[in-house]
Amino acid sequence: MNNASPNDPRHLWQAQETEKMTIQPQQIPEKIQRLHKRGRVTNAFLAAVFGLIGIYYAFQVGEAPDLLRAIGCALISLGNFYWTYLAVTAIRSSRLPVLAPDEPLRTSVQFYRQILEETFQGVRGGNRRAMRGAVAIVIGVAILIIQPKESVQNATAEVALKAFVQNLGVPLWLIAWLPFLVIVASWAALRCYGRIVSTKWITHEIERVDQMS
Amino acid sequence: MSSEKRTADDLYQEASAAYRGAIGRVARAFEMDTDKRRDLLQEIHFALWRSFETFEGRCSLLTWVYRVAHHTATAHVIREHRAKLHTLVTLEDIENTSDRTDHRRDSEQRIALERLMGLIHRLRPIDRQLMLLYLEELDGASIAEITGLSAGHVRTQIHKIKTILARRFHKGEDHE
Repeated sequence: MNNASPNDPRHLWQAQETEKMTIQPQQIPEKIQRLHKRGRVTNAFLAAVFGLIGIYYAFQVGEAPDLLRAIGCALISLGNFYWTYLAVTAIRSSRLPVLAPDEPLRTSVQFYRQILEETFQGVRGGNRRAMRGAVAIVIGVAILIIQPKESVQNATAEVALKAFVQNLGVPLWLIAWLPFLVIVASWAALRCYGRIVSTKWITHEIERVDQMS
Repeated sequence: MSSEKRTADDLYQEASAAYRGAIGRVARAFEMDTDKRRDLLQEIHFALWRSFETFEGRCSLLTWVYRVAHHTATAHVIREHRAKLHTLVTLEDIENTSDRTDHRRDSEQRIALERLMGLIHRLRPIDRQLMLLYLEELDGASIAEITGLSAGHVRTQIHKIKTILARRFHKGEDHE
């Protein structure tokens, strides 16, 4: 490789302009605190938002015209209260994204493998704790969507569609619950697909890293 | 305790002064977004400062600084771009794909650098590290020490990197 060439990738790479950052050691603890605070503010904001939604739907339970709608509101409220709890827990135990002091004792391959394994566990677990809240909320929202507060006048297209589906011999209960099933099934399918793609990639990458080292 | 602290601070100042450019280039190679890159750069500096609490000279300052920078940047990529990880490729994948860019138009260095950056951003973290260490002109032994890869593997990978770069960046010169 010709190092003298101005188009030599190594020359180009080293000659590029980069952001100049100079931090005095005395400033670092204060800056770390600021970074920590930023993470806490985000979680506090999320806790407030989820809490307010939870309270709103808790009130809606009492005002629901029928039992199914009350169940829908209760599920949304519970899901949001659970997420509020998670956000509050995260405020307390928020971990800085800064490496542990002894991490540089590991080589890049060891560190990469460890972080891949941690990510794999996270993906495989499907962020179970956050999922618990999401399941309740999705089911609650689906119930509210198929149970409008006031009866909606059937449009011609809707009547025609219902007649068409009935002619196919599909039972009535299935037609009534179809939107609910479609919402839940699409959501579950998307999550499963994302999980499969991620786990497959991570497993393959762990095997490759093992072969490299 | 206070003399220990001073030593760690001195080491940090020495390292950040000596490797400021290299750290900046690592941040550029791992994050395209300007704001996120500034955060990543700050994270690397924090990690470097904290790491000197445990630095006992078991490896060179260069190895230590590159490990801190690369570990932090790798963790950043995994955290921030988790949904897109499967789109990242290996050096082998890059070597086997053709570069359809018209090299005649790439005579300007700025465009060539953008192309190089584009190539780096497509790589998986460990392949990206190898590419960066090669571009920083580190020798095979230092690359093996930083990454933990065997010397033989590093040699093979460097050969691949040289082939990729020669094919994509020197073809243009040949034409002109």
